[in-house]
Amino acid sequence: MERLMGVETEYAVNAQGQYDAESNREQQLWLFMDLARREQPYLRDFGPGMFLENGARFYVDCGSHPEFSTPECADPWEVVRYILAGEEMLSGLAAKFNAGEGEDALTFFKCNVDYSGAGTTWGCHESYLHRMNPEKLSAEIIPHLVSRIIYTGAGGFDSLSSGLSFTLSPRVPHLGKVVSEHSTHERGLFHTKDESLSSGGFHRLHLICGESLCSQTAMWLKVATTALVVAMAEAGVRFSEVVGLRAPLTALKGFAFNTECKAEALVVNGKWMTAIEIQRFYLERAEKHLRASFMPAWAKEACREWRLMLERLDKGPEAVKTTLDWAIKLALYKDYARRQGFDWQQLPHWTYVHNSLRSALQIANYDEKSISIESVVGPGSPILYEVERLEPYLRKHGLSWGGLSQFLQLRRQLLEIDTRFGQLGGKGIFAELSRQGVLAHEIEGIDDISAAMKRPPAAGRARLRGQTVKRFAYDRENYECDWQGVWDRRNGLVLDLSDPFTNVEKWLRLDDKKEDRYAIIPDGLRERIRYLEEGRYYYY
Amino acid sequence: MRFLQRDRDEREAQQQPQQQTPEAAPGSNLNELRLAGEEFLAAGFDAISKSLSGDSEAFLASTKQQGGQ
Repeated sequence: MERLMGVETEYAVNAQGQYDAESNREQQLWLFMDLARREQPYLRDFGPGMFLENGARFYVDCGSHPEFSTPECADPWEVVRYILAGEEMLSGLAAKFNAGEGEDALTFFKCNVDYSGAGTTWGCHESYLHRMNPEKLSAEIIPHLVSRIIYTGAGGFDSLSSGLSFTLSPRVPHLGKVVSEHSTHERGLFHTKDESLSSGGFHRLHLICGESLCSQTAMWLKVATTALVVAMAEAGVRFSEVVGLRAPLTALKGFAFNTECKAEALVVNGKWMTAIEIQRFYLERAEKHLRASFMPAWAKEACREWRLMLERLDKGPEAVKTTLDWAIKLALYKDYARRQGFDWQQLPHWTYVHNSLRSALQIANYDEKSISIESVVGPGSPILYEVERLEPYLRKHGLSWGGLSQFLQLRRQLLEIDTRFGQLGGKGIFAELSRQGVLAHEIEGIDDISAAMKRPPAAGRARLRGQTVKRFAYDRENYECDWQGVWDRRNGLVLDLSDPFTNVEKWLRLDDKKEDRYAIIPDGLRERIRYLEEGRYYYY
Repeated sequence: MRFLQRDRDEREAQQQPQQQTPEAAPGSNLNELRLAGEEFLAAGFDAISKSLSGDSEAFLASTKQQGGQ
């Protein structure tokens, strides 16, 4: 059975030179978008963004960061290919921008959390088209979303901690609910947004709990396994009666902070299961239904790779240390800490000490930035009681106050390193290692990225959208584009793309009888039609 | 589909506990795996050293952002 899916990725921005102030970043991004408009064939969306000739959308999202949405894709290879095509485009534009503005004037990063202390997280949202009742889907898919982080985790540090707590998934501390309608606060494992962006009774599962990844294997598995779970759940296969989690968020946190993948979580029948065991349960259900008509053609290949990955994870992080984002990072960061004179096992102790000092300073109404670490731990410390309380703890773990400033220096460096791991434009740590051939993350079939920058996927409405963008980009003042249509304002026509699987170019006249027109126009587009009718166009 | 170099990773993980055995002689497959592991870490350290700005605090501050989903 055909399935459609896609991924939106938010990219962090670093600005140097005249744009380094946070307040200037928005201005800088608009200049960057101006450059993108000059360089790329596009049609405007109904906001300040662009639909591209490969069917994708590129825009600046709330919070002033660039975001790239892949076109609707038919399989996980396509999803990865179009993510990479978006990054190639972004990198190329940044290189051109910086040629005029100065090297490193603008840098983009594929990272998931902001380590400045602002508590920001950048999203990587997944969309899966389905026809199931969304309320029933949540129970069936939540154990998968919780346990898949053993291979979908980006790795990094808990950005809400003032120490160094390595986690498989830095997004996890920012997920506060099991189910939520929000995406900028109280984020949920399961997002209830059900904006289908299509007609015909489809729903769109919109997941915001995932992370942007560098490893092709991790990206591919994330999309492939989740699409299979959605396909099975839609067909009535039930998982929750066996692997339903008693406390999904507790389980998620337990899995996220255990790099051996041995943490266990309580499931509905009173058993304790590891993330690998939960994943294996989903996998075995998928293998059992491989020949079912509701499974996509690529299911067999997906199950084979899924199984191999779980077998490798069973052997511990060493077995995946050149393949999965989090395991690559863990190996590199441990090595870096060792070279700086730190045993990785000491970091939780330093984290405890630093968090304790920070809390005590807050209680004593001290801004930690206004006082040096030497003053905090010296004889005149404003929190001497806490310093004295922590001394036996330090001694017990073979540490001394003299090491605290080195730990804080290591912390700052590792946080920068983690941000730069996914730097775009060839200068990132991951990109450098991949280029040197010391990683094992690539997937056969993820090729022709340059072609994917210009060509839409072969199936579904993305093909028609991309072709239409290409055809009318020269005349773009008269067109606007959306996921569900292309709007020809001059002639009062709309290309109907509300059927996500359509492959027929069907232009409808907007001055048809109103009832008829509304009958064919999905709910989400009615407001936009009114904009067109009332002449309230956006210009950018 | 073929995951490049996966076999190397798996062999390395399986054979790590046996590194002290007499079979771990120079020139053996195990030795090659150990060298590959060292090569990976050395390349990683080199890439990290090249990427660091020299003022991590300033770098992190200039990446600060209030929004994001």
